[in-house]
Amino acid sequence: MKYIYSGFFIIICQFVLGQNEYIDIIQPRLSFVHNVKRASDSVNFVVLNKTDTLYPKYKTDVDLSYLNASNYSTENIIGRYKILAFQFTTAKSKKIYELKQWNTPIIVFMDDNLPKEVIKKFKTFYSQIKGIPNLSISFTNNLENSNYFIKTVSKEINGYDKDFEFYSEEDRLNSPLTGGTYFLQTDKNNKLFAGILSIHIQGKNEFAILKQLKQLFFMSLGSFAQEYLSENSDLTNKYYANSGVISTSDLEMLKIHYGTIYDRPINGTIFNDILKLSNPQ
Amino acid sequence: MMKPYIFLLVLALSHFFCYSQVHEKASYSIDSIVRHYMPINMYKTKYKKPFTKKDSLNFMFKDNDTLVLLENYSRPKGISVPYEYKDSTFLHYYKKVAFNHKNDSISKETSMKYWKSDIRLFFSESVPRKAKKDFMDFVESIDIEIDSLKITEVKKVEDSNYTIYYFGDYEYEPRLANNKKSNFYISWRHNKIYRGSIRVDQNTFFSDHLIQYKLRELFFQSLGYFRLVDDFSCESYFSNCYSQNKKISKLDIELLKYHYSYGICKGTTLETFERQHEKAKEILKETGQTMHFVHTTEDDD
Repeated sequence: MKYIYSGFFIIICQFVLGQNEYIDIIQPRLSFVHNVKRASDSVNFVVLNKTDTLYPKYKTDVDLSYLNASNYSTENIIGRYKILAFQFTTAKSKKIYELKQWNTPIIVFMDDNLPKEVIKKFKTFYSQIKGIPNLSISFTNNLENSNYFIKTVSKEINGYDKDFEFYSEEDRLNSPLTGGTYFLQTDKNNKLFAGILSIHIQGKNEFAILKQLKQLFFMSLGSFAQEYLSENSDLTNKYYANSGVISTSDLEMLKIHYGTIYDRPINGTIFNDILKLSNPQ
Repeated sequence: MMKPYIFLLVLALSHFFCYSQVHEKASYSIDSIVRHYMPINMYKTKYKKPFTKKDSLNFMFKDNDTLVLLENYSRPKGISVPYEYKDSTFLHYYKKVAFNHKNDSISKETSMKYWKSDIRLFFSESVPRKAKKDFMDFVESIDIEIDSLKITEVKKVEDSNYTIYYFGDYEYEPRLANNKKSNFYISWRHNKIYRGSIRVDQNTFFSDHLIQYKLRELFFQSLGYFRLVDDFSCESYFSNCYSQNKKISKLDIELLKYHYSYGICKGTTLETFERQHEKAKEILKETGQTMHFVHTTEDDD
């Protein structure tokens, strides 16, 4: 009975005091090790036998400054990010979009059938992404060493559902998902670990191929949505101008997205809770 | 002349011919008389026959339970292994991974599954030699650690009970044929797994290390129809998330060892598992004696 009372007490405390720590919102995953590092580790330990005990190890301190809008170029940066990652949805939405992250370095192999100039410009463009914690993008000439395969396909493909309705035919033709798509391997924790980007290049010039590849690849970094609200220098903008330089806003999106690798699936509601924690009123 | 001593043994029989009893500390002398009793509910379930007058006269009452005398009882052939004590945290995690509940709905009726016979792996010709070798290195690291689980490779499919193949190969397991994703399929009888298959899509898992990751993840899961959980860091094979540094952790191996340990009853429901642990711990606490599990050698398939 005392456990029941203790449980109620904890729940009441949570309501009264709110969620004060990151681990109150995102329960950490545990690895079990021999060394005791903190006093709190003496709880939840696992006795293997008379001489061997394992203690839980987990991250407790997460620097949430990556969620502080004052660190970015515009104040509404978090708003744009929520569109990209969650498409305005929360835990109560009919269809829920959850955050998806790569939790392994991305090693890209590009199909030889792509125009050489496109390959070169694509690599140059994405080499601009540097210094973002928890995100690494590199290239390889050996498919065996890769976990991201950009390939050409001979048949016409589309990345949108058959019943998807575009605003106009111009919209449809301009979409990176027309004649191209990507497929990502994901685990039960919404972590991405392999991808295939397919593009149909027949009838397209190098400018169009490069633009489409750049957009699709960026979207696949977090299964990001497209939108109209950003600048046309931003890769998720439906009217992307195919700039040679990656926009500040896009880099900032990635900084927010990869600020930490979450131990649990994150929906819009949980993200808002973390946001409150990072910006206490 | 020595007086005959009477030993009363109360048998707690599970459904799966894994017998448990209080450890018989002393060997019986020639003057000893051993009587075996069984709780009335278990007796009814096991023998399904009405009680005779003689049965009723021999009833015994102990701890608010009626015990029935077993006539001509002979202990089944088997190995007697002492109960393997584990602490509550370990058991908490063990129950989470070993009892894979349908539709995430916890049920006391869910049973754990295990391989009783050796696992004999057959690889289709499409599986490259290097992938096979890397995979077998992983398999051997399990085989070495788990005494009661033997895993070997065989060259002929007819000698195997576990096939590993790719999309487009001969469909060794028809129930995987229409699966669009890489997956495994295992078959069991009385909770003993006797056949398994892994079918991998080499188009989506297009490089050696991706194939290796998938093969290992699926194979590990198929060793006990394990549930992958969100408690452990992604490096653990019992976790439900990807890590490029996946390795069999100390806890992973201990959980696996426990699953294949004879110090517990195998193939039980969650309810039986919990009841037996409760009983074994109670006996240990009250008497200081260790309960024994007798694993019968007769095949009940």
